[in-house]
Amino acid sequence: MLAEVSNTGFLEFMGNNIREFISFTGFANVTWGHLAMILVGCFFIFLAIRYKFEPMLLVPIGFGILVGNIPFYPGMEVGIYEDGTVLNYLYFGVVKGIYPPLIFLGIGALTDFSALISNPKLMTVGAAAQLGIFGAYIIALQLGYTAAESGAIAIIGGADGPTAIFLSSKLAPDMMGAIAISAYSYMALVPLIQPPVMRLLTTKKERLIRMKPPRPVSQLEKILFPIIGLLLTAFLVPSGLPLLGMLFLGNLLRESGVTRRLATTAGGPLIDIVTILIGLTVGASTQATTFLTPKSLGIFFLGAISFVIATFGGVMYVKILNLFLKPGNKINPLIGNAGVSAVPAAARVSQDMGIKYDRTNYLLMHAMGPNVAGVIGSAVAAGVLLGFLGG
Amino acid sequence: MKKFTVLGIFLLLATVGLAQNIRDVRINEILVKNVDNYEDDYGKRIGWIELYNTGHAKVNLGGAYLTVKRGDKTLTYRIPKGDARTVLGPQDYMIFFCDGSSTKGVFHTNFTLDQTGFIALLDASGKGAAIDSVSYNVADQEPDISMGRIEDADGNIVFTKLSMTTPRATNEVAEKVPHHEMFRQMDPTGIGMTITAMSVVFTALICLYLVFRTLGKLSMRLTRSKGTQDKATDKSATIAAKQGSELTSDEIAAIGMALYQYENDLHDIESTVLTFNRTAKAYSPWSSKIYGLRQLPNKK
Repeated sequence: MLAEVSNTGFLEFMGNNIREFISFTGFANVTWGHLAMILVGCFFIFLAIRYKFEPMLLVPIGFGILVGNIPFYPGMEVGIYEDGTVLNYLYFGVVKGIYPPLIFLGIGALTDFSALISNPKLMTVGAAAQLGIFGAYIIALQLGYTAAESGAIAIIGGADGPTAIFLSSKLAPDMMGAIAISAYSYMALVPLIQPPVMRLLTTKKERLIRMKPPRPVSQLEKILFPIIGLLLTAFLVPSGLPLLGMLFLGNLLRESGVTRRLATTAGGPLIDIVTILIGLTVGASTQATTFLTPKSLGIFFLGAISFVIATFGGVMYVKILNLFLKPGNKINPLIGNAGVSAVPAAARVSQDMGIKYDRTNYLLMHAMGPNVAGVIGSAVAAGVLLGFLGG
Repeated sequence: MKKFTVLGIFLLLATVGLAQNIRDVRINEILVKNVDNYEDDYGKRIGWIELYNTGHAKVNLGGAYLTVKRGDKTLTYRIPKGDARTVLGPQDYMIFFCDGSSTKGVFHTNFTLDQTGFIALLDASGKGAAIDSVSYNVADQEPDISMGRIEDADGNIVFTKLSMTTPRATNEVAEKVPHHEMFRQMDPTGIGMTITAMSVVFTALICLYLVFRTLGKLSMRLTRSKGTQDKATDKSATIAAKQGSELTSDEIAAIGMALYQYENDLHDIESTVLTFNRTAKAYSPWSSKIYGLRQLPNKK
């Protein structure tokens, strides 16, 4: 009799535990939102592997979306938004804007500014393409976003993931996931977004313009570039210092010739580690409950608009500039699009478009000038937005 | 000598840095007549001073002085050193109760606020200009009405009566419109922001353009003049260079190999120098693979 009672108790005990276990599983807590986001994550991974669209970013982000959208019972201390969890600690680097400057350090160490130094007037193309940021800002304001939200969304037009994360973490932290995903998605889609705009704005004659080959750049000029670049830009926009400082430091490590190991680390293992962490955590931050909102849809719409305006700004600026340049010095407007940062995807678009119309007209080296100028330009623009709208 | 100079400069900078920290501290609020307000750690209601660190670094107030009359030691309280609680965090507040007692601990001063109508904060030297000071009329003080630093309508900081006491908190109790919202109200279309921000971005990159255009011209001029000098002084070098341009296929292969090694970090790291190392193929039966392998059995 006693054994029977204890058996009943044991079965009831086990039954309760199994019921509790089932209530904790993802199957018991899943919502349509989770499933939709998991599909988005899988789509990102598919794009990265099948079409090689920014795989270094889309694979960790896509997988991060899967990680962030595994349904669980609230309070289990596993979610990215729950204090003290492992993911929450990793996410700290995003929230506090630590990862983006580290990525900029690596970008600086990987970037050769020779093309820009040899033809410095291309720097202004990088400035003109920032029109995308402020065009999107105007539209976002009209759509009812606050000024801080508009600024955070607008930076997508800078086509620079770390800058977008950095600024949105300061101006609109709750929108950061959607902004980062939007920025990286459109950066990956640059080969699809930009060519129609470029074709629309240029004539066949303009597309065939041949540019003067770049002159050789001395080591001294390469060393001076990051130092003078930092002093000029950071004095003007100190709020952009975390990004600009790290970008130019990375470049000085590369060009000084005496810190080869540091440059290799910054441009190799360090940027790789930070890219994995930022990709995973940004992806994981897109939990269905916080991500699937009408505001997110608006962010995606504005992101696409900002890329179009940025391309328009860059190409039109070159066309206007050509009016003042001598025949031998004219710039092919097909490199105007490269001013939107998105290194080196935007420059590759210029190259592909160029050889489509003239098989011997290689624009890649020329396009790299505005492309890297776009990195500086978007960091300065982010600094301006932070200075005006932050606090 | 050089080392000492560097050390001296470092210490000087460090001292300046520390001195700057305490200079960020302000007398933020005082309550002279505490009737039904903030209690001290003994449950008593007495007048208090609130200090505020306006800076973004920690400040240790240990050793600093609070005084209600300059030069009079009996009315001066030295904040004790060596107590971790006297470290004031960035943008943080600290309260000192002024009950004229010297036996109630670190946060109780040996003077009261109704003595002179003046309170000042001095650094650890106890001399020189006050870091911050405020004057008030003792007779005008009302019960539970504090005085504090607050921004007036013109944006100036004034020390005046507050609408409510705010110990350990900001004195700005009126709801403030966020900066970005003010921007939206003043520039609802965003065109002002666009023009201003684009001007800043253009200015930054045009400055860079101008500097590097000038540098580029200088660099090209230098390269040209150097090239002319070289030509004029050493014709034989030109001949050698011409001869050098006719490379044999072996030499090209060697350069290619050296470049390959350099790119793969196998080469010695030297600035603009490629070294061709002779590769000796030393054969020894001890290192030969054949002798280390088992021979197949002969089945015949």
